[in-house]
Amino acid sequence: MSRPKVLADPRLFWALGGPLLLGALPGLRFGLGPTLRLGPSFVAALLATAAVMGPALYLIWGLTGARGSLGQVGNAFMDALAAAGRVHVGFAPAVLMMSATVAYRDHAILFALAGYGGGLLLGASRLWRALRPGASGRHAAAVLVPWLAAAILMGGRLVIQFVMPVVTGGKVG
Amino acid sequence: MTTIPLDATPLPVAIGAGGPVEYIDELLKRPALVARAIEADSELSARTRTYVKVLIACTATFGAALGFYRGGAQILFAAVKLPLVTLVTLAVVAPLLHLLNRALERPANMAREVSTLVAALARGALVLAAETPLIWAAHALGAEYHRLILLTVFSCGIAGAVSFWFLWGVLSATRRSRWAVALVVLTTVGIVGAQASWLFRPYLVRPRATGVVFMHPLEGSFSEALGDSLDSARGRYRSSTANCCSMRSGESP
Repeated sequence: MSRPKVLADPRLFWALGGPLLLGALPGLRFGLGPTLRLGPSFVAALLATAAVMGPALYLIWGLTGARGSLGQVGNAFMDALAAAGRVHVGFAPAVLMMSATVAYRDHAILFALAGYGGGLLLGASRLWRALRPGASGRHAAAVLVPWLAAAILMGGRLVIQFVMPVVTGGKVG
Repeated sequence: MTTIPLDATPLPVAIGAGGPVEYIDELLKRPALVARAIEADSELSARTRTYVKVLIACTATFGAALGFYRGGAQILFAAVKLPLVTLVTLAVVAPLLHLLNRALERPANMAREVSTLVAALARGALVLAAETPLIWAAHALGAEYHRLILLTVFSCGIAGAVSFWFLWGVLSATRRSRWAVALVVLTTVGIVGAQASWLFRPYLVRPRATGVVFMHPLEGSFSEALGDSLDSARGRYRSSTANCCSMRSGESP
């Protein structure tokens, strides 16, 4: 039986592999359990945000009269996630080095989160460039800036929700 | 009085164009030419090898000059550690630059990116070597430990700025996303370089330290230490330092 087409897409491996690696590295300072939980936590936060915000982007983009089919917007979104994943993998040596050498292990997670956020912002810049030809500059900004702000709020909240219990060993409400 | 025209006895020129001496000369005087040569993949591996040697030699020279503050084994330790700091930073940043270029649809070639970073760091290392007399002058004037630390940070800051300017020139060959790439690389180099230099400390060794160690255990951070040095240079000491000094002055008036 052949694999579904989406699973054979190398962009999927970059998009999921980057956050998985970046999340696991600072976990090394906390032990095996947190290492195994932090990587999937980063991926889960990304997937949940993408699942909600991806379709919303297509709907807002289409409703406001911008050009671009579902396939084109989906492709641009996947390219942006893959680009973010590449940047996450690029940050991995720096996060590993910082995680291994900072005096306080809580600081290790901050570097991973900075790399995670930085990668996603660069992915968003790639998304902007891909969608920009489908509308005027103001139109694209009027759609993408609020969308990005909402995505940051939702994603940030999910990251805190998933990561903090692993780091603190407790619950975050 | 007889004057000799400058072209009567031309300066000796390196035999064999494209040799190590010419690569270094280009890096020193015509960095734009080096940037273009790297872009064109011209003798990339030979250039990179030469610039790695320059990087190691120049940072070792600067490190040895710092080590003279304490003398003895510290001269060797500092001469070994400063090249290690730059090589660790290079190893961490090279994959990032490559993947940033790939992610942001810029021309990406790992060999070229490594060569670019090595050339940028080597140009900064040449600046460090040129600044070494400043450190010697500070030694000669009997500069106090914290002032020497600040002078070292200042010298490394200038070298870093020159390095970055070279890197910016190469990144600007493709205008797309050059600001984003430069900002991310600069921030990462700054953080990783500071952490690596903190990790491999001491370079000067505090006057009150009884022995010399190759590396300290993990404690504090670079930014904390820089803040302490700024305060100490202004005569404001932390309580632990003040206790130490008052006790010492009490013991031996």
